[in-house]
Formats: sequence, C-alpha cells, structure tokens
Amino acid sequence: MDPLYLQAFFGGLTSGSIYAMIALGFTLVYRSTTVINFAHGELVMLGALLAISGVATLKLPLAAAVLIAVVLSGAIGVVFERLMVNPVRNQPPFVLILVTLGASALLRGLAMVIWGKDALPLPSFSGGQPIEIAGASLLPQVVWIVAGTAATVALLSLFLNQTIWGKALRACAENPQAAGLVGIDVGKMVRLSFMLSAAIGGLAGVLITPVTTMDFQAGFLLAMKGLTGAIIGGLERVSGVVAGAILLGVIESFSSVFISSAMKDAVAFLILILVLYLWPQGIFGQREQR
Amino acid sequence: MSASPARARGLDVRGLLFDGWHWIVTFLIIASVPALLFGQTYVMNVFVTVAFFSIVAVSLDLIMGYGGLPTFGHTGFFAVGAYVMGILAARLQVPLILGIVVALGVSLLLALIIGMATLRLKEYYFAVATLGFAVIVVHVIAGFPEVTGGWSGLQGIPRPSIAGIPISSDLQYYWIAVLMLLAGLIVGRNYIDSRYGRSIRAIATDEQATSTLGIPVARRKVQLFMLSASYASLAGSIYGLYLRVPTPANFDIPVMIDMVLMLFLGGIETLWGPIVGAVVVRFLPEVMGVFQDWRVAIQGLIFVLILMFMPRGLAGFIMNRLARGRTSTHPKPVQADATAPARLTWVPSSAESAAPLLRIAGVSKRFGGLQAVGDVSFDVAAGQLKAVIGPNGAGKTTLFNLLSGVIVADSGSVLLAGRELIGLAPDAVARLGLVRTYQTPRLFASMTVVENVLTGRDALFTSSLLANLVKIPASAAEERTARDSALALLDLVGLRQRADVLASALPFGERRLLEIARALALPPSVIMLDEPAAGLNESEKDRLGDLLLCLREQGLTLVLVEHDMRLVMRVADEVAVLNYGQLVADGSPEAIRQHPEVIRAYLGEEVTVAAS
Amino acid sequence: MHRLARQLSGVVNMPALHLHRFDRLAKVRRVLAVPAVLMLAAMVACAPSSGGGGGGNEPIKIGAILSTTGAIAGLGTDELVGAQMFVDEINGKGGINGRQIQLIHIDDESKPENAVSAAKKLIQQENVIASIGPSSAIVSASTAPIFLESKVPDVSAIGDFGPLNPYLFSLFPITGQGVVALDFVKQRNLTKFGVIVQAGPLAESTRRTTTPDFEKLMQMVAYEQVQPSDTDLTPVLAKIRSAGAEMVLNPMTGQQAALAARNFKQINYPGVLIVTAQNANAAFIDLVADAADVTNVVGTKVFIYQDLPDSDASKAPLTDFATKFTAKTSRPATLVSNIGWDMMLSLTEAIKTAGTDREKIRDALETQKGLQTLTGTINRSAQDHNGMEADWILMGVDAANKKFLLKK
Repeated sequence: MDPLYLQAFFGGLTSGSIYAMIALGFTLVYRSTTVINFAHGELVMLGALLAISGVATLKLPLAAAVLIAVVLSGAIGVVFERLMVNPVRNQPPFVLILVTLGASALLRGLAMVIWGKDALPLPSFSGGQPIEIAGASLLPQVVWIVAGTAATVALLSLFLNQTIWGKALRACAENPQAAGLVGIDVGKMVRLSFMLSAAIGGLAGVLITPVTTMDFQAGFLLAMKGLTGAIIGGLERVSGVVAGAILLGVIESFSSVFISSAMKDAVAFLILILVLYLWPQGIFGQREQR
Repeated sequence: MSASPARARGLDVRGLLFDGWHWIVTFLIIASVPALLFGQTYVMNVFVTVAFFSIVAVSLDLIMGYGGLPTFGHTGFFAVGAYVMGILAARLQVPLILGIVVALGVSLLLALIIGMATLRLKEYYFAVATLGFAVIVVHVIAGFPEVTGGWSGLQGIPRPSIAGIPISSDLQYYWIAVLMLLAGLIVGRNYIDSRYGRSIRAIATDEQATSTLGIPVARRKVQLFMLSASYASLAGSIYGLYLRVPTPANFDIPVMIDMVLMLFLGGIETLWGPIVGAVVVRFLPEVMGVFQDWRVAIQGLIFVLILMFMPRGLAGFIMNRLARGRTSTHPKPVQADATAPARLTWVPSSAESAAPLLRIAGVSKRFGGLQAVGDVSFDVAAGQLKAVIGPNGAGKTTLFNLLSGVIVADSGSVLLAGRELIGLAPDAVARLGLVRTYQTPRLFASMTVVENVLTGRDALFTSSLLANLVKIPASAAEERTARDSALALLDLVGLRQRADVLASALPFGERRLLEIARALALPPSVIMLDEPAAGLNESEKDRLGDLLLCLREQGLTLVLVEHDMRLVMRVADEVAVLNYGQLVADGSPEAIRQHPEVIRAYLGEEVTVAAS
Repeated sequence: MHRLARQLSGVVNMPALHLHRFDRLAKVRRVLAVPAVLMLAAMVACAPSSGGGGGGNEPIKIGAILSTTGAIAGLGTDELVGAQMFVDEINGKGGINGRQIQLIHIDDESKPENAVSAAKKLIQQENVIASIGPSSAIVSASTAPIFLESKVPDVSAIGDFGPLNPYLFSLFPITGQGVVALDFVKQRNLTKFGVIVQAGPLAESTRRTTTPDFEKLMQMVAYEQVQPSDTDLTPVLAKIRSAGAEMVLNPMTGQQAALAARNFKQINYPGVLIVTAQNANAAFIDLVADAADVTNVVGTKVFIYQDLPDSDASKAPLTDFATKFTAKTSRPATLVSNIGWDMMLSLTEAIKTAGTDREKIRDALETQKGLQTLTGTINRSAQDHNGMEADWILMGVDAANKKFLLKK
C-alpha cells in the first residue's frame, strides 16, 4: 500500500486523538448539567501552560510537572465552578453557556499577559523518535494520547455507569429537582463534575502539547474541533464522543490529502452536515423514539 | 434531551415603549444623537458598523431569541449579500439594485436548503451545522480568488448613488443603515405580533404541543430562517458597498461570534436589545484602549459580569427597571360583555351520516418487549362523549399519542370522517379536526392567556406571511376577529377576565381550562382530553363536568381519558375500558360498572357489586 | 468573591430606583438615559488631543496600526517595539528638523473592522501626516482604500498588498529568497520543489511573490495549504513527497512553521527543508527541537549578527539594535522587530527630504532608492512599492545553544 494512505491515517489518528482527549471533558460536564462549557479549551490550555512553567521555570522533572498540572487543573475547575457556574445555576442553561463563553475570553486574556503571545513547548513523554510502520511514521507521544484517551474513557464509563457517584451525577442532568429530592447534593455533584472535567482537560493539555505546543489561543480552536467531533459522534455517550472525534480527525486528514488541503475545513463541515442529516443525534448517539 | 426550556418573560413592558408608533419617534431621536455629535469624525465609522451589525443581530434575535434556534451561520448570508452583489457589479457590470436583489434571492435559496436540511436537528447539532455553513462560505470566497479577489478583497465595486447624489461618506451610510434597521425593527415587530411570531414562540417553548394544535412546525421554522437570512443578506449588500473592498476577513467567524455576543449582551426577545449590545461590543475596545494587553482579559471579565447579573441582557435589565411601577397582572380593559352567549362554530358534527365520526380499528404499538397498545378497536359517534378508562399503565395516553400522530402506530387504522390518520404528522391530524390536551397542561408559559388561545387558532388564519410582515389592513382585521373569537372561547371556560395574564401566573385549575380553550380554538370536530380532572378539587371538577356537557350540547365530539369515576359516570355516553393495552369492554356506563372484567382489572378479583 | 457577588447583586436590584409617576415623558427620559450615558463614555474615550502636523515646535504625528493582541499578536508586538526604539533614538538626537516625532499606536486586535476605525481615527482626529502598519495582509486589505481616499501615505509591514495603491507602501522582504536555494540546487541537482503554507492571505501572497523566485530554479510540483488549527501535517507532507518534491518550502508563520519542521523530520522526508523566516524567533528555536538538524532557515542577518565578520557593514547597526531590543524585552531581536524599525526609518527619511506635506512624502517614498535599512536596501519605483532587497542568508538551528547558526 502506498505509504501515503497510512500516513494520512496516522495523521488523522494524531489529530483525532487530540480532539478526543479534549472532547471527553465536554461530555462529563454535559452529562451532569446539560450545558456545554465553552471555556473547556482554556482549561486544557491552562493545564498545559502550568506544566510548561513547571518544567521551564521551576525546573521540575516532567512527571512531577505533569502530575501537579493535572491536580492544579482540577482545583481550577472547582474555582471556576464556584465563580462562574454557581452564581447562575438557577438561570436557564443558555445563560450558563454564555457565561462560559465570557469566561473563555477572560481566561485567554489572562493567559496572554501571564505567559506571553508565543507558543511554548513541552518535552515528549518518551522521546521524539518516531515509530516507523510500513513506510509511515507515528509519534510515540500519540500512543500516549491514545492510551490516555482509552484509559479515561474506560474509567469515565465505569464511573458514570457503575458507581453510585456517577449515577448520581447523571441523575442531576436528567432532573435536578428530583435528584435533590432523593437526597443527592446537586451542588456537590456539579462541582465534582467540573473538577473532574477540568482535570481531564489538564491531562489532555499535557498529553497533546508535546505534539502541538501550546499558546494562549490554541485551546479555544482545539476545543471547537473537539466539540464538533463530539457532536458528530453523539454527546450522549462517552465512547460516542471519542469515536466521533477520531472520525473527524481522520476525515479531515483524508480530505486534506485526497481532495484539497485548502478546503479541508469546508469539506469536513460539509461531511458533518451530511452526517447530522442522516443521524441527527450523532452517529453513535441514542435514537429518538417516534 | 428535552426541548428548549420555557422562558418566563419578565413583565409586559412592551406596551410601554412600543405603544403605537411612539417607539419609532424615540428610535429616530436616539439615532440622530450620534449623527449630530460625531457626524464628521472618525467615530461615525464605528456607528456605521454598529448599525449594520445591529441589523444582523436583530435578525438573530428573531431566530435565536424568540425562535430558540441557536444559529451561527448568519455571517454566511451577510457575506453572500456582499459578494454576490459585488461580483455581479464589479465583474459583470450589473446594476447595483439588481445585484442586491439577486444576492437576496441566492440567500433565500440557501436558507431554504439549509433550513430544510438542518432544522430537525437538536440545538447543539443545529448550531454546529449552521456554523459549518458560515465556514464553508468563507472558504469558497477565499478559494476562488480569480472571481472574488481572495484575501486581498473584491476590487472594482462601483460607488452607489441615489438620485444622482453619490453615497460615500460615513454619515450617509449611517443614515441608510439606520433606516434599514428601522425597517427591520418594524417588520420584526409585525412578525412577532402576528400569528407567525406566536407560533414560533410556541414552537420554542414546546414543539410537540404546538404541532398538535395544527401548526406546521418545520415550515414555520424554515420561514423564520429565511426571513432572518434576508435581513443579513440585505445588510451585507449595503455593508459591502460601504467597505468598498470587502474581504473574507470582514465576514469570518470572529465577526459571527461578535454578533452573537451583541445579541446576548443586549438581551434576547427584545428586538432592540441587540442594538444596545452592538454599541457596547464595538465601543468597549475604544474605551479600554488604555489597558493595553490587559484589555482582552478585562473585556472578558466585563462580559461575564454582565451575563451573570443581567441574564436578560442590558435591554432586559433596562426593561425590568422601567416596569417597576407596574403590576404584572395589570389587564387591558376587557369588554364587559359577559352576558352575551358565546358564539362558537364547530365543524358541524351533526348526525348526517350513520357512520361513526371516529373509527379506531386494530391499532397496535409495541415498545421493545412491551405491547403498549394491542389491537384496540372502538368507535366514537358524532356528538358523543366517549370515556376511556383503565388502570394506570393500561396504554390510554399511548393511545392518545397514537391517535394524534405523536407516535406512529405499528398497525391498524384510524378514520376520522373517513380520512385515515395513521401516518400523518401531528399538525396534519390536528388540521383535520382532531385535537388533544395533555395530562399535565402544556401551555406556552411566556405568552398570555389569550395569546395561548390564539396559537390554537392558527390554522384558521388565511393572511400570508408577507401580508403580516407589512401589516396590511386585511391582516390586522383578521387579527382583531381572531382575538374576538379567542375572548369568546375564554368566556366559555370562564377565563375571560384573565385574558392578558401570563399563562405561567395561572393556578393549576385555570391552566387546565386554558388548555381546553386553546384546543377548542381550531375549532376541532373531536377533542381528546387526557385526565382533565386530575389535580382539580371537587368544585373545579363540577365546573369541568358542566363545561364538557356544554360542549357536547354544542355538537362537539369528545373522547375522555379519566380516572374519576363520578365524573365519567356523569358525563359519558359510552365507556371503553383498556387493560394492559387491550380493550376489555366497550359500552354504556351502567354496563361497564357491572362488567366482571372491568372490576377484576381495577380490583384484582371478582367482587359482587350491590345493585345501585 | 461569592460575598462580593451577592453584595453586587444586591446593589443591582436596588428597589429604590422607583418611578414615582409613570407617564410617557418619564419613559422617554429613562430610555434616552442609557444611550446618553454610553455617548458620554464614548466622548470621553474619543476626546481629541491637540492638532497635527503644523509648523513650529509641535511634534510630528505618525500613526501606527499594529496588532498587539489577537491572532497575529506576535507580529505587532515586536514591530511596535522596533518602531518605538527608532522614535526614541531619533527624538534623542533632536528629531526631524528640530521637531519631535510622536508615534500614536492603536491596536486593531487583528480585526479589519478595528483597523478601519483606527485608520479613520488617526487620520481625522489625530491628523497624522503618515502612518505605519498594519501588520498583516488580512487587515491591510481593508485599510488600503482609506489611506487612498484620504491621501495619507502608509508604510505597512506586509510583504505584498495586491493591486497597486499609490499611497500604500510596504517593506517586508519578499523577493530574492531563491538565492539561498541556489547552492542546494547546484550541489544536489534538485529539480522539483513543493510548498506547504497556511491558507489565507499568506498563501495568496506567497504564490504571487515568493514562489516565482524558486520557480526560476526548479519546477513546483505541489502547493499545499493547511489550516492554522491543524495539529499534524505529516499527511500533507507525505502528499508533497508523493508528488516528487525534493525541496520543501515552508513560508508559514507561528508555531506551525516549527510543526512542519518537526513533521518533516518525523516522516524522514528525503529532501531539503527551507523555512522562510516570516517570524522566526526564539520560540521557533524551542519549538523546532529535535528537527533542528534538518531545518534550514532563510533569514536576515539580524538572527546571527554576532557571527558576522567585523568587515560586514551591517554588523554594527544590527548589534546596536539587538542589544537594545534584548535589554528592553528580554527576547532576541527578530526580522519582525527590524521591520518595525525600518518602517519608521523609511518614513522619516522621506519626511526629512519632503517635509510634512503628505503628497511630497508620498512621492519621496515612491522614489526612495539605495536606503540602507536593518533588513536590507530599499529601491522603490512607481511599479514596485515594496522595493526591499534583503540580505538573505541561510541559517541552521543550534538547538543546544538556543540560537541560529550562519551556514557556510
């Protein structure tokens, strides 16, 4: 096989897994509150930049910096929930979405003054030597990303479906009033979901930055891609979100190589619209009863 | 996912600012302030863009604010308006007016296609699809630089002139944009006040309930989409003339985000809110200049604070302040004509034909392993009141859903005056004359009582969309007649004095009555009521019973699902009994009382009933 | 914060703002109050300062529309520092003909609408005699008609500006880069090259101005565009490889230029990579990381000024500039920062000869010849409003020491 096909696939897998890792954070908040946190990209960005500071400024070993960054991201998620989400919790969901949009701009502005306007790098977890397969190459960091995504999907699914906390969380999205009535502390559940989502976001940030580098704006763009992929796959299911994101990456890659690299975004969106026309709930989403 | 949540509008302040033509004068006065103060300075440029962006933002209020359809594609139509006109004028020497018209036509066509393709999508999905449209438009413009000039912009658009006067200064464009904005506000206001506006607000609140009132939901959504696209296209054409050299960057995603921000900062469901938002979004950077790089963060903070403390936007906040002096239930003066008998015209259900009006045969529906409704057959004669009873879970509501078209039956047939209902969409079923109410009243909480009834009456209107947009006398007259009929219906159910109260303010019993009145507005030949007595106290139930009997006297056919046996025995002509989805009995109330199957279904064992 | 928020919300819902009499006039007054307040704020913000380019000892006002925030924030920031450094130096020496120069900068946030209003503000309110910037072609396409209509000369930082505009000049070096490829072509007998570039105005201008130089030497077999948000360019590079390109030209900006280099190495591309130094800076060196050994950068001498022989005439001014720039910003000097300086240099040279009449300044800019700048020599004409002939050099990347290397 012409290595071009395989390289196109690997390229798609790289970007797709990046989108997927980011999309996971979206789905957790969505499952517990039915809103999309438009500042999630910034949480990814902050996680990455914190790790970068840890390595570059504090001279910490990579593993320590990564761990601290993820933990700090979770903490930021809690603070974010307290400041931005809690005050508007009784408003209709669209208000919350708008507030997160505003928060996204705020965080981007802060990151610009703190970390500057240039992109910053993070070392790869296991070196930069690419893996050669049949004439095409794949970065080892991508393996880390895919592994991280898979592990997060497994743990998240387990959490949401099997544990009492996860079920309580899902109940809050279905019917917060009823959930409260059966003794679920809805506020605490929402805080938990934001903390976990931000930690996942921070993890996403440290996993992807060795591949992409990170600057104050990159989080937003990547998050929009992640969200698009999640919608293609179906926001309702964790595995659907990941599948949709990877699918988006692969579609983008193949249309860039075989159709037109200039019109890639247009082609990807066209395919998105077609997909949604055929599967309004996303390809793997739950079917509506009619 | 549930449908968009009902949004409780604040207080009815619309009356204040928009009485008659008063607001147009206010608008023009306010609009002339910038012209007088800054007419010859660079600041005018910002006001011109504020005006053009406002036009698009107002159209976003129509479709996102009132219609609840999150759309991120309007910069696409904005761009089409500018570029189609520009290309025709610059490359083919087409006269500008014609170019603008062609651009409008292209936009409408695109809106129709996109609307039909995407409007059945749920919120986020719809938003992403429309965003895709905007992205594709920019890519197409950038991808064909020979035609569009690419990123360097489209050169060669001639300077426009009106009656020989060349249009080139900021001030001139400002007034053109302001007048376009005014027209947009007037048309928008007319739309919202008309049945189209009501129906779209109803759709935004509860799409399913709206369709069971006979309103073609998909068609209305597409119409609104096309209407708002036309705003963007026309604004885009003139904006393109203003820019002289339009570039894709003028219509890219950051512009779209700015416009959405303008809408929400300004306040949705106000029409004029987006204008306030546009001023804030465009001027804030000017004021913030001193903060240098910190500016972006501070702007973000300001937006967050506004959105948090003024969730209805700046305009909503202003309206709340202005409405302080008014009580929320201040009613408009209502004709004190309570003694006149209600004039109601049903579709005649006289016993002309011997055939039953509603014939249900072999209807079945299975959900996975559960046979919810199994081979149910019964008839309802014209002018009859048929009750359907049975234990909980017997499939009664499912049966209603099947009959009204909300769910598609697996098999069977339902004939209404000989017309097959199975397979029809809910709005088609309603227009044929079969309406229903719900176990929990599904009202349009943000609309007043009389507006709710008027939505029920939508199918009777004949004036077209265009007629309503420009508010020709015929359509205004139709509105008035409709309102009179609606008030008569409210009279019938005893809610006349609550006509201008918000539906959300009604106590439970009155909500039921309102839902019934709304269902009667069509007017139907058969009305199906799902547990209307649930949650009512004894005196309310008596009132209800009287109403049902009164309706039957007037020739209406009723089908009633009920648990309250006293009520059933009192009003029903015939009773059908369901258990586990099967029909177990069908006959007179007396016969049913004694029927052993029925007793077993309710009580679980045979019990001898003493003759009453 | 929560308590503060509650207090704030209490203030906002003050019941004291009651309307005593609810008549129509009060309504109108209150409605007008909001826009009136907004007008007031706008008026305060837009309060004009003293007038412009008159005679005497008033400062000469020059506008600067540079993007210091937004998508291309990196460009505008360095350009502004470079320009301001020039202004400080020339003012320190007494200004032009005894008059100080006042640089008035407005950030357009990388958005064309803002640049248009900035241009109008500078021209109408500040009465600048000329201006520098914008920083990129996305934005300058919108401001070009304004400078034309107001007849205000502008020296922008872009390399190419589409159709010729009598009042618009640029000086980002765009031609002549092919010279560095000559050696590769001769040594390795290269015949085919491909281009990877970001879609948008950069792709358009590259097609117009950069690739022709290389096409004189080789055949262009691929011209691929990528999106700014792309995270993996290996498929596109593989596509270029499939087309048979032996050299890959990478005129990208931002971190993606480094990404392309890393991806180039990742797939073991059998060929030569040439990166044009659109905005190469210290960050680029960091980001290139392991791919440093395959990365050839076409740049100007500012990147390796320390390695220049003392006989090189540009060593002294570059060293002077670079040390001052680094002292100010803690970053190494870049081509973009030089552009900022050179824009002011070109403009002030014109003002020196032509005075403060805009038409004369325009003419002087158009006929500027042999002007030695930090980037290269400017030779303009009526057909070429750019005219920057840069002293191109080929550089490598020394990742270990975090700097560029002069090659050969």
